[in-house]
Amino acid sequence: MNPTAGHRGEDVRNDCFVELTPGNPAVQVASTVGAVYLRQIESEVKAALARWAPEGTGAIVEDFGAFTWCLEARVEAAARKLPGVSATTDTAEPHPSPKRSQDPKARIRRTRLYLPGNTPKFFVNAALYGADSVILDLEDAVPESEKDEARSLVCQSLRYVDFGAAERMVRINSGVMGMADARAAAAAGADVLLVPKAESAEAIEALESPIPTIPLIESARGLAHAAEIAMAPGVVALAVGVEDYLADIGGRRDAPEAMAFAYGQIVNAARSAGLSPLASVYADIDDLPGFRVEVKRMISLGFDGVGCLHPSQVPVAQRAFAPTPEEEEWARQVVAAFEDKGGAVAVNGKMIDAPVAARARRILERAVSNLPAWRLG
Amino acid sequence: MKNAAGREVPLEANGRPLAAYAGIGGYRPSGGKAGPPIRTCADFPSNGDKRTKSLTAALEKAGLRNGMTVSTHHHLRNGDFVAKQLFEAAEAMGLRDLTWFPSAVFPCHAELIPLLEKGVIRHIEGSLNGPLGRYASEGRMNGLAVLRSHGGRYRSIQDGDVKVDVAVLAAPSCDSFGNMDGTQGPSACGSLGFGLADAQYADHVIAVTDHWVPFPNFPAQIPGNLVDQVVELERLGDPAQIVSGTTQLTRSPDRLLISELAAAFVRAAGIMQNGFSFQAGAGGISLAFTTFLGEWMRREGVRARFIRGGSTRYLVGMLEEGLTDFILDGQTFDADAVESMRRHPSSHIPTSPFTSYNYHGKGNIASMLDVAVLGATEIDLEFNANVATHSDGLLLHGLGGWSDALFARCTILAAPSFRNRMPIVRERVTTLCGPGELIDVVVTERGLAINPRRQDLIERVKDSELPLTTLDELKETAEVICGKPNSLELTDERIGVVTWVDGTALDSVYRPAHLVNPS
Repeated sequence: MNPTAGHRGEDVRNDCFVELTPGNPAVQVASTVGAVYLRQIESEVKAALARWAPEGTGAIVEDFGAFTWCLEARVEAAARKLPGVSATTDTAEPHPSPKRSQDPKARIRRTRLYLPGNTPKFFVNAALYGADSVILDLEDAVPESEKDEARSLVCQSLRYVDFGAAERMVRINSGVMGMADARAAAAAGADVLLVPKAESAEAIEALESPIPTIPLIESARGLAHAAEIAMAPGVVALAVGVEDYLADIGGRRDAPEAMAFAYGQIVNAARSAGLSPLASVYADIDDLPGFRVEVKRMISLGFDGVGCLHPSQVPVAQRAFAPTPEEEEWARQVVAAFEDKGGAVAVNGKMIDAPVAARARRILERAVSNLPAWRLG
Repeated sequence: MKNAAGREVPLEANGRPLAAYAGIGGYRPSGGKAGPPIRTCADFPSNGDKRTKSLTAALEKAGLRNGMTVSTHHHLRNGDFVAKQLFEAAEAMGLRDLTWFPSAVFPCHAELIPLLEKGVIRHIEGSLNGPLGRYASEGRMNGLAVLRSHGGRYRSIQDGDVKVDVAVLAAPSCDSFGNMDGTQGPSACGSLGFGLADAQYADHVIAVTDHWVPFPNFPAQIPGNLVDQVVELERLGDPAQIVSGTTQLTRSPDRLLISELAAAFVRAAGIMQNGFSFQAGAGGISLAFTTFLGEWMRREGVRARFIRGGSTRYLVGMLEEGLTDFILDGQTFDADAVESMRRHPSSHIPTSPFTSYNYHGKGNIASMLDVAVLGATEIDLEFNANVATHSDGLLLHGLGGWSDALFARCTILAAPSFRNRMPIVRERVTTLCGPGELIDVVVTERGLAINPRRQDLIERVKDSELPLTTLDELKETAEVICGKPNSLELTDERIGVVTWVDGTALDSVYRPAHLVNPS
């Protein structure tokens, strides 16, 4: 059977389905945008075949408006199923990331927007929604059978899609597949790896990630080792995965106290290592008021960020993280006074010491908005 | 010949003369309006009972013959059973070469294609979309498709461009005299405004209903004095499709962003103030725009005087919350809005293309609107826009009230900067439907462009945080992401003509080359 990759069907947008034809170099394209892009698509497919497939290989492509990088990713993924191509490394230069110059532990990660790793239509506009980070998700959002092609797609998008000012995170799979994800994503220019089901510092080290990592604590065992995981080399923040954790301990989401211990432990483990603790996602994407309440609760527990499953959650979370004008003014006064004196000082008659000054600095960090004023939030 | 917009247009369509577009306000016909034949009460039953036992009997009594024009309204939307029953009755009567003149067509009307192929229907007069649009694009329909806006259709009847021989009008409730209402009965659809011209001007008017009400069925949206016969049908339509689920709020992040930006613009430009008015339909962006604007109105304590719909449960919510005094119903898109018409009869004002849009009349509501948010398939660098064909040349959308609503004081086209890899800002639109002089703002997910002709609007928002851009920039950005599209190859086979609201020929629709030998 000829190797294939991608998606097809009436509802498919910005994607394509590629079948490679070893031994038959012809390229056949049928496209929903063929009336104005047919020749371009043909030449893009030929270029991708020349890069990825053995000579003499052609392709049958059903296109639904795939962008150039997606066509290439699909050809690449199909070609990797051929003997001799599977281990090929992509040597193309990664897209420059504006985040690279910032200390990875100090980056603001109030909102991390999840993008399912094998659905290209969500990638191209991801920069527009104002999230601090985007997560190209190779793990739970991708069916088992599509893992390899999602990796090709995510890597091609890292090279060619402009994610704007957002930090580019890739959530890798666990186990052996995760090692391959990590190597490929790092080579393609990801800023950070999100490592699921982290259970020990050794496992994080064994990943040998060339780029910073954020372990996801989502099991009882992982929680028991949260402090040492937070201290592992390359770890720049600590995140919690609620659903998996609750499943592991036998707790229920509708019992808020079921997470109390984990939240406390993770916030404490992260802070003791000088890292940001990052909260989980809120599944009901239509319930923005409920999401706002949840974000406020996470902030009060000490978390510095939340996961967003839909772009409409981003402004809501960004606004929730923003301090009130009174808080911001207070924080400015505290930081100014503290830095001026270099130690304990009185502001408005109240003594300010180092921990209060640290809290004030965190409030000022959250006051930096990447959300324009016209957004409702 | 080339018209005032530089487009090649025919001066004749389907045997009738056509004037070339002469610019906005440039065409001023004189003379009298068309009129229906004089009728005499003596010819109608004095007890007011105009019932006829079947549609076939009614069509025979109406004198329907080969080659005549039959009209229907589209208030039953994608749940319409009337057109099919009508033309099947005509087929059983052995009739041929009929022209169908609907106020709009829907995907459900694909079931008429076999009757077109058999020659029972020779031609469909008016805007085409969906499967029938494709049918015409493939060059399979006899005669030119003449695209008219909703107001343009009313005007074409009134000005005598189209003569309706028999109108068959769905009445969700009706009495034996022919008083028709749209808010009651199993096929309730709300407003019946699109059937008004047909009722007033057709030679013969047949009301069809599946819900009898004893006389008097009042208030009647169309009075029985205009009706010749009344026929009972088992069912007018599928209620689930009449008030369909198309009025769900979109979850598309891009559409939400565009809608939010459009609402933010309306606020920042100072249009949103007490007593203002706006129009928004039932498309994904329009509905979301309404909810975002509603949120700003709520936060800032602003109340509109009226909102013109396509009414939906979102508009009903705003009415009940006190965010608007009135809803002016052009159409009624969901069951909540139909229910609200029954519950708040003094706050819902059913309108028709005559009151809202009629161009050869003594003014209309469209030009009084403070702002209208509309869609587009393509826009050129001069703000000229297309709404009928896509960049692949297929005739996929009717004009609806789009051309008419361009006369709002501020017209916003809200659209993604590319759709499925197709950039919407183009050197030249495939089909010109709306002149750029009337299009003030283009809102996309990558910023908004204000027409340089509207320096007043530019002045009002220049210091705001709104992401202002230009059409050139939007075009360039989209082409970086999508690649530069090749120009569309069209044949010289004209399959349609787009008319402007005044009835003049604005542009031609040509058969795309890729459909000549579709692979």
